[in-house]
Amino acid sequence: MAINILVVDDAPSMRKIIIKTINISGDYAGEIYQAGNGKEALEVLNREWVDLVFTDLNMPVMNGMELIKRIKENPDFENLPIIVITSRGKKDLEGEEQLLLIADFITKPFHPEQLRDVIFSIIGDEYERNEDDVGSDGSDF
Amino acid sequence: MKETKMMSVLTEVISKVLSLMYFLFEDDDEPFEKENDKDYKIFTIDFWDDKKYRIVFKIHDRIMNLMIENFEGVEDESLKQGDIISGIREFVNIVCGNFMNEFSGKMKMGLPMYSSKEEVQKNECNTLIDEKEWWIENSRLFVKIVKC
Repeated sequence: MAINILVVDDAPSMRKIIIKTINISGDYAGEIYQAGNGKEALEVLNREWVDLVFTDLNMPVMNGMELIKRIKENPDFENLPIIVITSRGKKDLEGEEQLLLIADFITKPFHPEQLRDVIFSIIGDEYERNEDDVGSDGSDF
Repeated sequence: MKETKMMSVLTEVISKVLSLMYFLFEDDDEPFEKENDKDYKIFTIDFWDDKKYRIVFKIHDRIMNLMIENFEGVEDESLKQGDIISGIREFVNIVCGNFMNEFSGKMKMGLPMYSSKEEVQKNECNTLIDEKEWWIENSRLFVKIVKC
């Protein structure tokens, strides 16, 4: 089963690297959507089916904290896993209640392996379970 | 945050980010050619607690191109000026975020800005705290911390 992913970052180069890392770390990704800020991300979420969100925090127009709050306020998205990728350390954001709502946290600069490990820690079980349902010859038998 | 410690922390952070993300390292040798002052771009980012500070980056075009080429794994010819500016703004954002992570407390940071020399000279943030330069691939990256 492929999962659809939304990557939210105001830097196109960072979105490109995240998407490249996702694509080389396995064939689990279906559609990968992009947004340059929280407002654009909400528009994508209202339009497309998304299974996992990566978001930066420090962005213009609508920052990542506001985006997390808006997502979790919406009952349609309350179980949607969100991974924060930011230059700020987790300890510097302690006390921000939105951080209790996220699935994981990656600090920039990161190694591609870190990103891959976090993705698999979140979707891995479900992905592997679906893979196990498929026979060794690739069929469903 | 102690102002006297700022540049040493910033130096470590810049070296870490340049090597980890952009595969660039400070030159061992003295530069062998003089650069043209017009070939630089200026970026700034503000951070504050009860006082407001600004980090100003003056980066040679050659370093900017190398950074984005290395980060994205692409050739210089395929890079657009907008991609380079956006990529360097992200570098500034990452440096400032990591810089603040090294200090305790609840500091806030602004968004990275691409500025002109004139804007930097006329603005209100002009009390110099410290400054440093790096030579990378015979080109200069100049950084200063100022108080507003």
